[in-house]
Amino acid sequence: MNKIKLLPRSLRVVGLALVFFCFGLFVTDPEVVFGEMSFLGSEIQSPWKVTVPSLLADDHGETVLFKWEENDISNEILLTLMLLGTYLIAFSKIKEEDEFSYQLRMEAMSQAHLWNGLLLLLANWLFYDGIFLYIMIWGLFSFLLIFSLVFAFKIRNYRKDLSYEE
Amino acid sequence: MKNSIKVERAKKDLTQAKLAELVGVSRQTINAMELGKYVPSTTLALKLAKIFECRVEDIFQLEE
Repeated sequence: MNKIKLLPRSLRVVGLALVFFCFGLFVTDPEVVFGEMSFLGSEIQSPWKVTVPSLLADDHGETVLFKWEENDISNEILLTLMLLGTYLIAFSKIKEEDEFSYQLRMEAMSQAHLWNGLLLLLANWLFYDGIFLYIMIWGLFSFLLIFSLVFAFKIRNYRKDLSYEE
Repeated sequence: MKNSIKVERAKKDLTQAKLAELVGVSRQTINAMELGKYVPSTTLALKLAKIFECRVEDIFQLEE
């Protein structure tokens, strides 16, 4: 019945661990998102500075299609882990996976799409400059996070109804 | 859409959990259908009709 191929249930725990790890790292050292590492308040040389391929890069004031450049990839690693974590949470099976949970999943997805759009629209008019960039970074995985929360809330509500039997 | 799953289930002396097991869904799904919060797929409706030994339209009726 399920039209979406879902991941094994055990991967949900891995996803949660990844999200908490990334979130924890972000809270304790927010600069890591922007690729600047620090330790106990003092800046340190990042071990993640490598040469990477860059598309549509800035080259002395000119935009070039491709170039190699030095970049601290700690923020890329963090965002990849965060995205991977949110995908694992959002698309792993729940305990009782059937056509009803599939419908709840679809409802949660459409509601998350609406809420995410509204939040980004609000952010567009309320945040500017660096803060807006910061919000947009969160916008990369906010849809999946909102979806996971709405879906968990719906499942929880229906579990509550289980007290009704005869 | 209204349904008589609860009545048919009582006739067969089945619990929600047992019926859920027989048709291969969660108890949560049977509960949501009985409460009118979920309209099942054709496949599930046919499975229920088979368990209850009646026609699908005897279980599910359109509301006036």
